[in-house]
Amino acid sequence: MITKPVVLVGAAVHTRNSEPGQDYDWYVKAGDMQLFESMEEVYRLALRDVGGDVPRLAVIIRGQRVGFLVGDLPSKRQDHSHRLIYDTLYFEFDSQYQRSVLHTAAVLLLCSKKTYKIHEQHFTDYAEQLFYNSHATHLILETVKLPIVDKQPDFSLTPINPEKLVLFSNQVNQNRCARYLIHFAHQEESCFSFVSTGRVSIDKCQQVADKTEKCVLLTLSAEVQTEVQLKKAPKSRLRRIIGF
Amino acid sequence: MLNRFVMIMVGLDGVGKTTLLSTMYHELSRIDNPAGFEVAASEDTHRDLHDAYKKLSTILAQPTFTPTWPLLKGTAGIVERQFEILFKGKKELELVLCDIAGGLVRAKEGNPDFDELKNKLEEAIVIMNVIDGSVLVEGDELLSIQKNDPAQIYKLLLPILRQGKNYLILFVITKCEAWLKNEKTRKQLETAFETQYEMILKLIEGLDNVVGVLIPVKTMGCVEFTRIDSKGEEKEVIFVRKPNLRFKPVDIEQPQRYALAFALVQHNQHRSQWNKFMRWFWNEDVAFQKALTEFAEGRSRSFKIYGNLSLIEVTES
Repeated sequence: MITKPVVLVGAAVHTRNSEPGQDYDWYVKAGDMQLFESMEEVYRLALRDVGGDVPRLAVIIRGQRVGFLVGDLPSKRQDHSHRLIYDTLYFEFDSQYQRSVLHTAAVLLLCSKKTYKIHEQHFTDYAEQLFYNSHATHLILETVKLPIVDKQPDFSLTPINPEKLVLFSNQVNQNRCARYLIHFAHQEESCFSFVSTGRVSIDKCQQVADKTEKCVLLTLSAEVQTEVQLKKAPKSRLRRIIGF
Repeated sequence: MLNRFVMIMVGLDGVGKTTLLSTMYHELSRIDNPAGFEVAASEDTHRDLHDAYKKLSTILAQPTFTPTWPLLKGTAGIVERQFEILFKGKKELELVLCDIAGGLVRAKEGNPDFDELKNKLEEAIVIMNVIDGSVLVEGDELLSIQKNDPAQIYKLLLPILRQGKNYLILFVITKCEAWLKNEKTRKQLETAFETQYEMILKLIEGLDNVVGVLIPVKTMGCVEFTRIDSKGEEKEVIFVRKPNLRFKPVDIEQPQRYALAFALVQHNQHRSQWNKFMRWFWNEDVAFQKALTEFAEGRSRSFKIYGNLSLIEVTES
């Protein structure tokens, strides 16, 4: 795995502890996080308790910040009922690292299941390191190593041109999304989200889309056959009158 | 007309809510239903529950019971499972079944998931309290609070049940295979339940709009309680996989049968006048009632009922 160190401004870990009553929650919240609340909402809506064997990822780009979440990371810990504890890791970066973050999401979409396990372990190690230091009041990591693109997407596939788009999460669409993320050109004033998740309904996808100006979502829901253009946010009365 | 109904599972962490749900769905989907009612899960719900059932079967297919639960994953929030109830192939009503993370039962005001839980409880007409049977009979007070916490369930139910709407409360006891072997041990389980849940039962008995049913189930049929181990101050309930027994759930479809019959009765009673007239005109009301009676007859009569029994009675006339 080829990686690149990237400077971190904030991090959070959603996990649980082993004893009864120590349930799933954000056990670590450290550093300066401006996008955490938005990411937490996306997590609750579209990533938590979701079935299906696909990468659980989310990226939010807004203002001068980029948030990156990777979920369903199997730790080695077990809870009081001997069930495996899963971590969800959130990192926040300054916008200058937008490209690195989007490339990481693309790498995770393009890699084989076997390679995904290696990346998964890489992020689980960070999550567990943060969890074991959850008593620390400061951010214990200064940089994190993010994987860089080592495999090109398939350029023969139809490119996606989203406003607000949800696609069925098969290999072809994962590939198309990876291509989009690698070549993503962000306009500074707008907010963009990307989510890769399991069986999440169109209704829930729409709720995620309503919170952003532009988004691409990958879902395994049977409600999405290939791709569906989601509704744009309703225009304000003034904008409707003026006509833009 | 009530054409969407919500059912919610409550119970503490690790009592087996998700396991119960996946086995319940599997058993219910296997039932031949000549009455004309069918439960159809949305495709996403079907796949999720099917996957969970497959994982459970894999664990139990192993020759001896080892702690292989890592294959299963705890719930972290509130999961909505979508179903449709069909009558003679036509959609009659929607069923939303909410499975929750056990910890939410004890969450604090202001926690967004706890607020959502309260909203779902207000919407629900069937509340399924899943209870750990081994703790009920063998656990001390501390373990009972830790694993079942009847006082907290009472606190959650109290404002809801007093709203006046009709409610069915199902007390589903899991992990109780060891006490379902004969009448004497069954009685022991029932007495333990009635002692520890006295406050909730008194509440139900005092209200006209609520009925409760005690349903002990064998979720797996092949895993049994053996002892409680102490690890310092912590106690752990130990179960063993009985090598001579097969994975064979018993009475697992009964909670759903009670729930669906109740929902269908409520649905039928709240039809609009126009709808009632059209159904009378086309003679559909008789066919529906006959089918409902047949479906309700599939409910086992051996369970103890608390509160207003008439709320779950179904007659053909």
